[in-house]
Amino acid sequence: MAAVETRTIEEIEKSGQWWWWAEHKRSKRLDYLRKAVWKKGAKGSGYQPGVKVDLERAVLFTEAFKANEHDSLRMRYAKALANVFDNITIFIQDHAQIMGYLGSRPHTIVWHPEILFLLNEDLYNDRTVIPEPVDENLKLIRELCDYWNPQTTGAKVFNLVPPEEIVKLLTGVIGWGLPISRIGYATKQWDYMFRLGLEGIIAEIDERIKEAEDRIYNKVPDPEDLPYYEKLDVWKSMKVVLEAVIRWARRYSRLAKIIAENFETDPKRKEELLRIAEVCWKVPAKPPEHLHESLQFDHFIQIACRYEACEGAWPARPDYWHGPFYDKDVNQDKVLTHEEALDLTGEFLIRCYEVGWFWLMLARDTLQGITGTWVWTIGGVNEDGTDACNDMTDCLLEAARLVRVANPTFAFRYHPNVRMKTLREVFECIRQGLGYPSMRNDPILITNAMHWHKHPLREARRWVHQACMSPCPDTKLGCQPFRMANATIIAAKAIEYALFDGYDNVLQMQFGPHTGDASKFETFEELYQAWYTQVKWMMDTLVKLTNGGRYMAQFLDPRPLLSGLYERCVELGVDSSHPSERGNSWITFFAWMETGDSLAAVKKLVFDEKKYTMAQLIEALRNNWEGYEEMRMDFVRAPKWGNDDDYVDQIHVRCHRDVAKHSWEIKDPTGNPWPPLPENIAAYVTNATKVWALPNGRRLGDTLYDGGCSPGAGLDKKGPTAVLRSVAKIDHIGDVRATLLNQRLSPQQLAGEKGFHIWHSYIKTWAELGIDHVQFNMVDNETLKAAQREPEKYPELIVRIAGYSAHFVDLNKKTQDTIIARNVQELGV
Amino acid sequence: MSDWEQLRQQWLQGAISKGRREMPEKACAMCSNFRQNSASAAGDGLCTAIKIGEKNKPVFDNTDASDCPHYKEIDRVRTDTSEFMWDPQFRPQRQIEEK
Repeated sequence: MAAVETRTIEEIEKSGQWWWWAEHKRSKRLDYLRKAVWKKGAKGSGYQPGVKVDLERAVLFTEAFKANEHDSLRMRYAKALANVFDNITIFIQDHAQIMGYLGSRPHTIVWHPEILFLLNEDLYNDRTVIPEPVDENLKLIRELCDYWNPQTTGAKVFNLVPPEEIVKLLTGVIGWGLPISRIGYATKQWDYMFRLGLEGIIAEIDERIKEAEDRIYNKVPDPEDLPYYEKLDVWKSMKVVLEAVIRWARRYSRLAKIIAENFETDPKRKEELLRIAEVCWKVPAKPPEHLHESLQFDHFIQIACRYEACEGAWPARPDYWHGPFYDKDVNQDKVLTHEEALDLTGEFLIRCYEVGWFWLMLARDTLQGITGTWVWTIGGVNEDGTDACNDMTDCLLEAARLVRVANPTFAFRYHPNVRMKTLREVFECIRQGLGYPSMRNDPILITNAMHWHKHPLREARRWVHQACMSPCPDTKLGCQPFRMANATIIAAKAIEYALFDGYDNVLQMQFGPHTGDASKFETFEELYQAWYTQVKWMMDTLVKLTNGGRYMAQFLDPRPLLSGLYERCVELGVDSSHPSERGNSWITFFAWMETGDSLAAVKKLVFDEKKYTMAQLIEALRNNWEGYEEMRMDFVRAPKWGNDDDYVDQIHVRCHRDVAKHSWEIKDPTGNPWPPLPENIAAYVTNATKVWALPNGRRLGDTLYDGGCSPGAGLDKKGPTAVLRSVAKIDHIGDVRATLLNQRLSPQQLAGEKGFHIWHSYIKTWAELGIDHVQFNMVDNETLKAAQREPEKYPELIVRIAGYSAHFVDLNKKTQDTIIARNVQELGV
Repeated sequence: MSDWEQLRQQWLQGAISKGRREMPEKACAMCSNFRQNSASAAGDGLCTAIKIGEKNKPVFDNTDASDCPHYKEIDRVRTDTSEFMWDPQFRPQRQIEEK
């Protein structure tokens, strides 16, 4: 903190500076751990000062990969990873109770050189993260780049695409990165792991190996047994790496014991270290029986998976899986106090917050302030439909207010029977300016999961966020092994292409199909159909590549560890990327809501009122509105989304419905559709330079709309109810996989008990209208502007971006400005 | 091997930077026709002026453009950070005030 705080708790509460409140309220242990943590999220697009790349993982992985060149690729990966688990430097931080770090020192971020040659070159040219001695380490990095670049997964995926088509991928208009399983994200199947522990899973694998060997070696030859050669390799590679994870955890156990028995002088800490030694010996080898064990098990698995891959999201439902252990330890057996559980839970959040890896500038730019979209799911219902909120839900919410990390954040599954005690905790987090939990409409999203991907009701009720928004069950056939962040389009480009016959004015080349000279369009319908052709082409082009990447990943980019944690894969003897799960694909639509606003403006001013011709419009747009300011303002003032105006809203609805219809025509490798999911993370700023001038009055470089169904900043003029009425016109089950609504509320209006009731009424209305998502910023403009002026005084001020939260001071100025520009909604009582 | 295939091979072999990148006085990165690769910060991108067929030619930010007839230097705006090299419409993501 920048200065010593001398005010009383009451004075701090009144000031709304909740980060000071948290510092006073949290335990000494949590205070130490929170302040000792190294933030790995980027500031703007660069890493924080002092953060260095960790070369141990890269060297250990490469050594073993080279030494086992006669094995299959899958087995080489397994042995390489095992070498990392057996040899990477481990450490135990003072006061810590939960072990496991991604890297060899607390300020380091790991590097996965086997994934993407572009990433490797990015690192080699980075000026801030190369550790001392720089010259020596640069030489080492160069050697590793030269060894890995041609055989990285990225290189293999590049080879799936005709070389001249690669140009389109590099623009970012279609695809956000490449479809690679090691940079996707994966649901974890906790019911399987917690039931068996890794030793139990290994026992199952041993049975499968024995069965396979019997079939191959001890039976009359049968062609049906031939796939067992491949399966045998899959199972053996799983076993290699699962055993290594157990050994890695037990290295922590031994280290804790050594410190306790030889170095620790504080008897209390000595006792803690011996307990840590017991916990790490037991889990993840065996099923957990206590809260400390279940949290440790969870964290070991999450870190181990990130040694294997850059998992950009962190699908989790911690209250559901850890709640029973909290209840047993705190409420029933009373072997743990609530305060002790709170310490463990707070540390559990901090341990997640400290995770980082060296990552592309592309990702650092669009996820400013965080490492990945780690949105943890809480609340919701059980498989039988009863309320799933429990004391662990409340404990997580309380811990979040105390440690105030920007990652992970929470999303709360709201339903009509949610317990009031928990809802108050949720509100308190929002009121204290965390920007989370985001609110998700549970009944709508359960039905949505059944509609798009045919999950059975009981499984659909087990849904967790895959990243910011998309729900997917964490069940045997529900777990999504490989969601490709690459499955993203900049949807507003379809309007640009419809107006310019497929030509890209930013890139200066023909990009989309030819749909005709728009200056000669005589009806609105001609323009609409040109747009529809362009957006369908974008979806088709993206899906072809992404499907190829997903299908080929089982051969080009196997993940033996993740595979060994899935019941489906252990049972079938297949890699995690084998498309045998139920499927959960979606296309992220960046910059989507400009579409309807642009079409409505053209319809009104060109075809209905005939104030301008299409030729005039095209000319003005071609000139990026320069010299046409009066005309531009007419288009800015045309009807806009978010004001309950059917003229524009029904055009948006039509666009949604037509895109949803096309989603059913394009299938993923599991045979399921590719529904749209409009949202923007921080890409509404970074993509501003990629989208040409649009008929909604936007110029090249102007910020795009920030949400998935949010109105443009400042364009919602008629208050929060009108926003909700517009958004409710979308069918949140059949039109989209999900869609994101940002709202700003006034902290003054929502103070105290009255504030809770106002907010609760709003939430009930929102839920009854069938809207699937809403999230809030509740920090006033004065505070935000003060933080821009004097960032050193506001290091812990958190805001919601679009699907994730970040510390305000870690955002670039443009992104900060867009948050300030959002209208503050005054709620009626 | 086609031009495109050769370019792909250059990428895959990390031909971008066998040595750490040094910027020529007139480099592609300083030209307003250069568009940075959206998938990395490894220095590769596209030239919007030079085409192979109908498509933009991939170039690197440190490609020497001293003999290029299409070279058009960007408007530079110096700030207190290292952000000084892009046209006004491309400034927002680089934390530069709009014009």
